Amino acid sequence: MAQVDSKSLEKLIFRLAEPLEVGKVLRQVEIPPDEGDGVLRIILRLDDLDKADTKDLLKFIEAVEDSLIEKDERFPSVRFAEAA
Amino acid sequence: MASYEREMLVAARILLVRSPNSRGRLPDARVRRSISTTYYALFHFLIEEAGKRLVGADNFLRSRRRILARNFTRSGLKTTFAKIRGQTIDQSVEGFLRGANAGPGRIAAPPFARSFASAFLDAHSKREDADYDRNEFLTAADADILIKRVEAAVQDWNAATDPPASTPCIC
Repeated sequence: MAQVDSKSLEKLIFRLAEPLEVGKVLRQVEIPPDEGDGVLRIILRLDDLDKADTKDLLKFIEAVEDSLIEKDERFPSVRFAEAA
Repeated sequence: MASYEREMLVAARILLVRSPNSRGRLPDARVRRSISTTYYALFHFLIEEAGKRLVGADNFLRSRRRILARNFTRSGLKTTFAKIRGQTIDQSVEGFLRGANAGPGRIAAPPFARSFASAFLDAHSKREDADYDRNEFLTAADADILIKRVEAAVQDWNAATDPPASTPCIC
């Protein structure tokens, strides 16, 4: 199964976030280098992370996982960080 | 008495509580310990459920359940969950989940099992980084979200399954 390239992944994530609350505070998508362990690490940088609703963030994680399941063999491990 | 996974989730949450005078980010060690503890809450919930269903849920069988539990492996669980988390399950396990009256064609795992599988794989990926790779960035938000996800996975599992029988099944 193919692996999604970083640019397509970034576009996909912004598109998924757009209709959600998280879309208003999502600033950057970082894809660290692949470590070959079957995990696709995705770091999402948000404004005011402390104020984000964690239930909304969890729904967003699930949306990212579901959208990638047929496109990428790696498991998408979504993490959040404060925007610089 | 609280279940073991419940006690572990409480411990994971306590690690994220800030003292009234603290400022800035939580210490990295507390975030990482919380993530690791949350993963093990889910892991122990799963193998205890498997033990109760295979060995029986009676108290006098506890020791036997724990012997069985020692024989589950993380890699085995990861492989299994990767096979069932998709829209349709991997063909190698279709025969296990296909109902007696089901027709031919691809089948999906029950929703609770799919969400449990994804929660397990998410917790496992973060726990590996929390315990072994300090270059991988993890935040208190990641730890907090993971606790909520694992709590939901356990709740959905309990809602979707019958309580294990107290009488032994195979022993």
